[in-house]
Amino acid sequence: MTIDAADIGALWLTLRLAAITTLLLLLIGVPLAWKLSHWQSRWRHAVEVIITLPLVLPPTVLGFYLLLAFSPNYAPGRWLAESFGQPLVFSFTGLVIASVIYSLPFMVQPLLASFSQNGRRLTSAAAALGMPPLAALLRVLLPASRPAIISACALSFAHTLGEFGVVLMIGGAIPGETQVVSIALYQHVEAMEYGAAHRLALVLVAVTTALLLLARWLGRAATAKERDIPVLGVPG
Amino acid sequence: MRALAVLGALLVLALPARADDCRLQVAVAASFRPALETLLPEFEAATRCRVMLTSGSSGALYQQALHGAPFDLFLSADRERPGLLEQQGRIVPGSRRTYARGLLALWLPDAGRGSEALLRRWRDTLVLADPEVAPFGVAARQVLQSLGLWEAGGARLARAHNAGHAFVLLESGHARLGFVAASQMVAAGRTNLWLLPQHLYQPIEQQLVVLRQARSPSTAAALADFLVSDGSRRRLVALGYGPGAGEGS
Repeated sequence: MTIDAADIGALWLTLRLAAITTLLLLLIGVPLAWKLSHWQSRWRHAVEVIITLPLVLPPTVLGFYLLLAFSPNYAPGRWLAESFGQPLVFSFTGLVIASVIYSLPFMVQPLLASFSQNGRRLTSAAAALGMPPLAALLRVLLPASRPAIISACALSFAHTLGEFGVVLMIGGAIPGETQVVSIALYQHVEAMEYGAAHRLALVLVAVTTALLLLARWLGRAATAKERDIPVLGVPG
Repeated sequence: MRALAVLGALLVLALPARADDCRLQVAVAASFRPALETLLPEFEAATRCRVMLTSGSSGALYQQALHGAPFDLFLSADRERPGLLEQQGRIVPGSRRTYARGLLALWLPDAGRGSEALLRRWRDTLVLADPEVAPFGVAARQVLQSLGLWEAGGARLARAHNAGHAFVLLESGHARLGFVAASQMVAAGRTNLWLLPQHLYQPIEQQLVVLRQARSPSTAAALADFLVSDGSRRRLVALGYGPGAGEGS
């Protein structure tokens, strides 16, 4: 089974995109979910709904609005291009931003569920023992939420790997820059190169399956370890 | 109780809509949909038939037609896919015809004149529909090849997934030069275009076929006749399509 260099380039680009996106989402998602899980305002629900929106909008529609948001014809787009020092459409940076928006719910929802379930109990226990809130987050809540964090990362990563509609709208299929696997696959199918399409799809599925199995395995290890944390043994 | 109400609402939404007596299901390449919609009212009034449209990329519609989608008529944006359907025995024999000829245009940065020289010296982003996917992309690639710019050109090529997307990218200012369909420029009332000389690319023949699975093949054939009639052809020329689209090859 052979895969041509362009497809390998697309695969590598996709993995890089998914890794960077997941990392950024982790940095954004943890504080966001933490804040939301503690927020007593009724605005909390509104913010939760807004975070869920990328699930509702069809990806190409989301991509279309990103096109408009990044457009140099309007002030916001000009400001964005200036801040990033380059136009965002047809660029890898643009794909990263789009992917972060697109996969945000896949990171935040599992974290939020976990934080809301264990969070208050754990943080109040930590506070009762005299721990400041930030330390409680870093040293108690995050370790206790490891399974949720791992599954959120796995979901975000997988979701970015399979991302198609958004990239189709704003990418420009530039090899080595924005031509990700899903686009390369689409081109093969449309050009009726089914052999190449099947091979690439097989590699994508194999890589994704391996990564998700790894994440599950890590998650299970984390759950097993978590049982040793005595604080969880204390009834609520 | 509330769960019952929600379930009821879901059931109502899931019920099939009432079917009309005479209904034609037409699969049309997305780029031709607006033009088709301007032609259809006349046909619908004359035949008292409702024409339902499914639009998408010719490639996707081809796949759907091949795998038994309930289309009566398929209007592709190219001639390859109707030809394939014919070879595969999926069409009513003899129904393949050219209904329109696409014209390739170059979106210009301003209302000035376009030229080969402009393409040669362009170093910025140049938008074209993806040649792997879209007929207008194939034509754009042929132009660049004719000018010796495909391998060696200085422009940064950004690929749109079809001519419509290329137009959106240019209109929203993400690039200042790019290949689009003349019909899109006409529809948008824009004049910053250069119609590419037709010796630079193969004609973009758009063909239609009546599918073998058609439920009303005679009505589908009537619509095909209507589309290739002189009256329709004149209106298509006014909409930015090429003249002289003849019968199928």
